[in-house]
Amino acid sequence: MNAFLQAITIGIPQGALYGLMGFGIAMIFRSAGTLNFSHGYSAMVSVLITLTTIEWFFDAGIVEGHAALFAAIPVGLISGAVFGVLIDLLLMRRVKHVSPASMLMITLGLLLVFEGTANLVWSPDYESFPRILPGPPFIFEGTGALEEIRVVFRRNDLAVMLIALVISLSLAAVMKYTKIGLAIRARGQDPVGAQAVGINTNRVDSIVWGLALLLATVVGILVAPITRVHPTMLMNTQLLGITAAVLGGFSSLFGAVWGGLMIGVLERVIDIFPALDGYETAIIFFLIILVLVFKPQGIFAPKQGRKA
Amino acid sequence: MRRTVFLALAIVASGVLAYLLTGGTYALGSLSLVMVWAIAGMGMVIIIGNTGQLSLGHAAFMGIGAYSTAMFIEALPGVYPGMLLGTLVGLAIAVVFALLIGLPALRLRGYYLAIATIAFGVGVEQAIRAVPFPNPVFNIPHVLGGVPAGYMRDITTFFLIAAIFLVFFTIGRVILQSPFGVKFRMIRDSEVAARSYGTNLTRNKLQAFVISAVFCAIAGSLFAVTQGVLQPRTFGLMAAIDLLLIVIIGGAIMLEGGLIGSFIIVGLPALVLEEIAPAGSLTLIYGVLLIVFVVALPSGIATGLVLVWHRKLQPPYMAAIRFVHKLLPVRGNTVVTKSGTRMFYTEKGEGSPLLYLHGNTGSHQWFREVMDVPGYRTIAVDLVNFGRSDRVEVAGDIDAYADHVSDFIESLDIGPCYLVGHSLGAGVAMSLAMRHPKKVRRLVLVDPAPIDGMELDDDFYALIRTIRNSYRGLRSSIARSMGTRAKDTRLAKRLSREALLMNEEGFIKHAKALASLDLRDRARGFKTPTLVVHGGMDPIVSEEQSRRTAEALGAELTVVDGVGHALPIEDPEHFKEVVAGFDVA
Repeated sequence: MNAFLQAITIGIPQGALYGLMGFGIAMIFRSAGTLNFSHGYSAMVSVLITLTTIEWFFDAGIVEGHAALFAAIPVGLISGAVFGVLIDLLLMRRVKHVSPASMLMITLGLLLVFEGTANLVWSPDYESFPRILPGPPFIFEGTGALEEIRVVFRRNDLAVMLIALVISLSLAAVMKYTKIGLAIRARGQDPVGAQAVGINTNRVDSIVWGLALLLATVVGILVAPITRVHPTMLMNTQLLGITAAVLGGFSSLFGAVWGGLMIGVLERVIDIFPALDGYETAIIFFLIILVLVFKPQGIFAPKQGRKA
Repeated sequence: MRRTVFLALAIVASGVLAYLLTGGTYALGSLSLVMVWAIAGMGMVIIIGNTGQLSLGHAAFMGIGAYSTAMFIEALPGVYPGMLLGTLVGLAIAVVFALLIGLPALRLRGYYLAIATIAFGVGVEQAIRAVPFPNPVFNIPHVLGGVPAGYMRDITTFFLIAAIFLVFFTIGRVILQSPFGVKFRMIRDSEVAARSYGTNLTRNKLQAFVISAVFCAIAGSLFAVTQGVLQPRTFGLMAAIDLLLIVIIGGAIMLEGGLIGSFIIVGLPALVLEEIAPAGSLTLIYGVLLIVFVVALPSGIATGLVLVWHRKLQPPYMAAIRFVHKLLPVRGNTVVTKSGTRMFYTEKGEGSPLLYLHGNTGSHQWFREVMDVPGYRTIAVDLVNFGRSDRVEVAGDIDAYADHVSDFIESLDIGPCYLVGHSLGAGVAMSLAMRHPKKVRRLVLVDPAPIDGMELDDDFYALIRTIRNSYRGLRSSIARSMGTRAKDTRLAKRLSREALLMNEEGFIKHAKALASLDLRDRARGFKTPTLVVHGGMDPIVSEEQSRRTAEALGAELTVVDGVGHALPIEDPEHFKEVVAGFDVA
C-alpha cells in the first residue's frame, strides 16, 4: 500500500512531463501533419543553451546564485521557440508533399543533427542542472491506523506539478478562447477550409512548431535535474511522450496529458513488483503496440460510428 | 549470379585496396564489420525498399541474435556448439518475435507502424538491459578462435564473413526475384492493387518482416562473434537509425544498397573518419545526409549508380566494346571497289558464285553456319556502313547500298551471281536485281524487307533509341531477331558486337529507309527467277507482307514453319537445302 502510494506520488509529476511532451508532439502532428521524432533532441539543445547561459551569468557575475537559473530560463525557452520556427521555415514547409514515412525519416535526420550539434558544440559528458525548487524532500508520515504509510515527495516535483498544471490550463484556455487557438484547431481539422476563411496556415504551422518546442524546452528544464544534461537526456521522455500521445489519441490534445500521467504512474507501479524491475519501459512499449493496433484512435477517444 | 560474382570481386578488391592503403590488416576487420551490418542492411532493403514497410525496430532483432549467441556460448561447454546453437536459437527467437510483433503491427501504416516498431525496438533494448546477464558482455570468443589473433585471423575472418555475406546476398536475390519478391513490391507500390490482385497483404508483409528479421538476427550473431563485446545500447534507437541510414543512403531497392550504405555509415567512420572528424560532427553530417537523401535522392546511391550507368555511361561502354571487338582478328578479305570503297567479305568453297547479303544491324557473321553449300563459292559481304566495310555518307539509302554491292560483284568478277538477301539485305538485293539485272542470275529473299515498306509502331523510334543507347537493349533486340535461337547467348553476344560496328546513324536511318521502301513500280516486268522464304514465326515481317513481296515480284513463296526471322541461324541445314534446291530447279 505504501509502495503504491509512493509510486503514485513519484509517477504523477513524471507522467505530467511525458504528458506535456506528448502534448507538443500531438500538436505538431495534428496541425502540421508531422510526427516529430526530433522533439526531445531539439529541446535538449535548448537545455544546453540554458545551462551555458547560467554558467555565463555566473562567470560574468551578473546574477548571483539560484536567480541565474530563472534569468537563464527565458533564454532557453526563446531558443526552443526559435528552433521550432526555424525547423518549420527552413525544412518542413518545403517538404510538405512527402509521404509520412519520408517525413518521419526527415525528423530522424533532424534528431541526428541535434545530437551531433550537442556533441560537437558541447560535449557528450553528463552535466548537473539546478532544480527549480531545491531543498530536502517532503516526507508525509501517517499516524494511527495509517502508521505504515511513509511517502517521500521531492520538493522539485511540486514545481513540476504546478508548472505542468499552469501550462495545461493556460494552453487549454489559449486553444479554446483565443483566435490563434481557434486557428490552430481549424488548421488541424480542415486545412483547406481554414485557408478559405483567411487563416494563414503556414503561419499557424510556424506558431505551432515554435509553441510545441517551447513546451518541450520547459519539459527539458524540468527533467534535467533528474536525468542530468547530456545529448540523449530526453530520449526516453520523448519516446514516452510519443507513447502518451498515442495513448491519448492524436485526435485530442489533452488526451496526451492524461496518457502521460497514466504512463508515469504505470511505470512506477510496475516497478513495485520485484520480478518486473527493470522491465517497466519494455512493458509500456509492448502495451503501446497493442493500443496502436486495437485502439489506434486512443483509449480516451469516444466510440465513433465512423472515422471523423 | 553475375551480380554475386561481381560483388565478390568488389569485396576482395576493396579488401586488397584497404590493405595496401593502410599497410595493415586492421582495415580488414572494419570491412568485416561493414559486411556484418550489410547483412542486416539487406534485411532492411527487403522490408523497407521492397515491401514499403518502414520498420525502425529491426536493430532489436540484431540484439536478439547477438545476445542469444553470447548467452549460449557462456552456457555450453566448448565454443562452437554454443555459437551454432546460440545463432539458431537467436534466429528462432527473432522469428517468433517478428511474428508476434509483425502480425499486429503490419496492419498499421506510415507513422503508426513506425511508432509500433520503434516501441518494439526500444522495448527489446530495455528488456535486454534488465535481463540478469552481465551487461555489457565482454570477451565473447571469436568465431575463428582457433586462428591466433593477428593478421591471419583478420584475413580469414574477412573471407569467412565475405562468404556468409555473399550467401545471404544470393538468398536475398532469389527471394526478391521469386514471386514473393514480386508480391512484396506490389504491396509497396499499391496495397489496393495488390489486394485486388488477390495478394494476402498481412501474410506477405509478415513474410517480408520475418525474412528481414532473420537477416538482422544473423548479422547480430556475427556481430557478437567478431566484435567480442556487446552492449544493450549497441542495438538501441541509434542502431535502428543507423540501419535506416544504411538503406536510405545506400539505396533501398537493390540489395547492393545494404553494402554501399554500410560502407558509408559503418565503414568510413571506422576506417578514417573517426580519426579526423571531431566528436559529433559525423552524427551531424549523417543527419543532414539522411534529410538530403530522403528529399532529393530517395532511391539512394545503389540505384543512383545504376541510373548513371544506364543514362550516361552506356555510349562510352558501347564504344569500348566496339573498340575491343574491332581489334579481334577475323578471317576474311577486303576488296577496294571502283568507287574507292573498301568492302570486307569472307568466302568458302569452289563453284558458281553465291553472294549473301545480311540484314539490319548484321554482318557477314550471320551466315557463318551456311558458308559450305556444295558446288558453290559462297561469299558473305559486309554491306557498306556495316561490319568491317567502309562507312559511306548515305546511311540508309538502299539503292546506294545496292550500287556498292554491284561494284563489289564487278571487283570480284562474280557476276552474274546467285544472290541471297536477308531482311534489309533482301531489300538491297531487290534493288540490285531490278537496276542491275545482268549481275543477278537468281534471287532468294529470306524474310525480306517488305517491298511496300515496313509498318512501324508509334513507339518504334523510342525503341530504337533504347537499342542505340543501351548495350543490353541492343542484345535483347538482336536476340529477338534470332528467332528460335534467341537463347543462344554466345551467338547473341557475338552478333551484338558485330552490330556495334554498324554506322550509328544507321539505327534510325535504316529503320526509316525500310519504312519508306517502295519498289512496287520497279517490280513491273521483273524477270529474275526469285524465291521468297518466310519464317512462320517471324515477329518482324508478317507472312502477309512476304506474300505481297512475292506477288509483286512474280516469285514463289515458301513458308518455313517453326522458325522466326533468321532462317540461316535458326536452321542452317534447311536454309542450305532451300538455297541449293532453288538453283537446281
